[in-house]
Amino acid sequence: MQQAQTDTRQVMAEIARLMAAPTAAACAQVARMVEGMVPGALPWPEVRVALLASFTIDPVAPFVAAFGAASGVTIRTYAAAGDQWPQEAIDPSSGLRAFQPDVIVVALQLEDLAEPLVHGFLQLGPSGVQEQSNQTIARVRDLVESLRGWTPAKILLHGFPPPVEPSLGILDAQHERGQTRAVRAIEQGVRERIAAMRDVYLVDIERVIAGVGYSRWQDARLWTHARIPYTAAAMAALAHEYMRYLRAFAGRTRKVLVVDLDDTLWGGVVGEDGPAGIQLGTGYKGRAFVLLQRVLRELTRRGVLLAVNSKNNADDALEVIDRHPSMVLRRDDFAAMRINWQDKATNLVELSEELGLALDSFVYVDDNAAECERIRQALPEVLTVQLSGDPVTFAETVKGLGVFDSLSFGDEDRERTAMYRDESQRRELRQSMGSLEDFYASLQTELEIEPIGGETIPRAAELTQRTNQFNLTTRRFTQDELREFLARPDRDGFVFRLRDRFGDHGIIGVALTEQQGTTMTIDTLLLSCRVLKRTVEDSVLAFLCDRARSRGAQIVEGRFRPTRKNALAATLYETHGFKRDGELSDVQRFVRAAADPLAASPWITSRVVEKQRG
Amino acid sequence: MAESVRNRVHNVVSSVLGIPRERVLDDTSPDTVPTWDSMQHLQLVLALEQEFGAQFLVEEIEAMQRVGVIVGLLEERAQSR
Repeated sequence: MQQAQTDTRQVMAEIARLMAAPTAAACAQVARMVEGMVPGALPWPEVRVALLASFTIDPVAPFVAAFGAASGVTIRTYAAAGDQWPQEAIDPSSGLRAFQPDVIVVALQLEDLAEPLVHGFLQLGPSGVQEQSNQTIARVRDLVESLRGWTPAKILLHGFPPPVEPSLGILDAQHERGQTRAVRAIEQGVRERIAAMRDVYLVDIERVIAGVGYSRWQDARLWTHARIPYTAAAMAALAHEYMRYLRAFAGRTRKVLVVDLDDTLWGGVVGEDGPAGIQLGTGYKGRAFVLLQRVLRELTRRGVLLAVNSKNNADDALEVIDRHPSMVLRRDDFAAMRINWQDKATNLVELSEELGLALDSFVYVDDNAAECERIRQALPEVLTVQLSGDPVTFAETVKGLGVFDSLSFGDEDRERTAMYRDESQRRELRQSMGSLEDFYASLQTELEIEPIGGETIPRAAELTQRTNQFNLTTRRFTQDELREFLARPDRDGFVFRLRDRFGDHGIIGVALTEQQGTTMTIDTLLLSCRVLKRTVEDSVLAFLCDRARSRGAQIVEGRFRPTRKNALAATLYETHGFKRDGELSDVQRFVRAAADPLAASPWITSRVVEKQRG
Repeated sequence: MAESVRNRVHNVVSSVLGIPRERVLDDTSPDTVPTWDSMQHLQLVLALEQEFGAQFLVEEIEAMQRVGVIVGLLEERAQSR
């Protein structure tokens, strides 16, 4: 066992070393390492990714496997390409179907679907363009639909970027009969057709090309010789883009960005240079730090929590944060702060406890190589980013990390920082109060229970994807999967909102139930970790038992599927009077008579809001 | 002294085709390595081009059917530069 762990660490270090420069050779080597592993040898999830393309996409596969390994996912790949692609999608005996993919990348090039739209655009004339555009849109939609007919796999559909040298040259983009407009209309048409299909995502290829640069993106030589349209740099960029989706699918989005202060948020050392002496706002370097701060502020508005971890006298640093005229970020923008002379790894552990978020959802940014090395060694699960060289590059470095992606965005995300800051105040209160009971009572907590409806689906799905600790079965749902789950009348879904004297937490929990005969099973139950240890779970379980009774169930069945992170929830059912009733593969089952009422928390006022499912 | 062209080519061949470094020889070819198929050949071309910052002609890509040939091709380029 010890030996196996050492090997794993060596393999992971080797992967990290090779992927520091993700060349074709490095990716091929990493892909082979992953391929050679026995399933389960690495402590990672395994994802099966199929590549379905109208051209030779095989060379992209090792890049995908290697980028997966670099971010802790074992990816098995399958490439279906060339002239066979329509059959691969439809034929029940195709290799694609036998592969049983979790994710299918669908990469169809316009020039393979409707060659004249690309190379004979003016020759085709307006009516021909219209006709071919419509056919193309229909063909893409049909393909995606037929995939959807046999698999729930997530589909990443490549978009259709307009040509860099369009038919009408400089006039093209401005002319109603320009090629640019026609190609954009095709992408828009496809977007509209797939909008209602579940778990189909349109990959913004135009953006990916722009990031690499068009002249470094395509290789006319390999295209003509072997139908490979991409350079190695393009393949690496595509693999990087796919991984951003995969991480979001797997609930492995980073949630907290912790920053150092001196030479990271501003130039110079405030303790030595004084608030007036640091570089911020004026001069080349000063403007560069403003750029970085703007990027960070934008991330907080997207739902990423920002925190400080700095070796400084707190008064010096806060003087800058509160009063420096060029600071973009102010105290309110930070969910938590550690400004002291403690070891920074210790500070990070404390921040993780304070925010109630696991360290593997943390990113740490510092300019100091030694501090970064310390964190990498002590806390390898934290993604440590060293900012070095010209500070003008810092903003782009942070922006380009690609680890904060989420599949939804709503008002909750914009308010997240405030919610966590409120929570820190609650903790202070808890520390200053005597007994736990007094603390609970002083919070004046109100719990609102509401059936999941159209407006709450995005947040409910997001919670299933983001919550790892107090999550009994850790089933991840996309919005579409959740809608599908709830479509059956024997199933119910609820969201839980919480308010207390410090503020509104918004939706902090989800429960999904399914009834079979006289048993109501709690398929999914999760609570955001920032509301744990407040007896919310007592009221939630009491409600679910009431619900089972009113639906005529005699038995309430709870399920627990252990993961590396949810030990916190392991005893929930047994401490609430459920009896262990065997296991189903890796799922532990617990049962309780529905007639036997369960006490809600005496410190929480609950209210059930009956709304119609939207 | 900089690493020799031969050494670098052998390293890339070893990484891409998944054969131990010490078993890569100038005589290594698709006939001696079962994994060296047409798709792996293109993978190898991509990797070599990146390693040497080079672009091969399609005729050269087709002729690169032995490690020694690749080494010769790249050594020639290095000298003519």
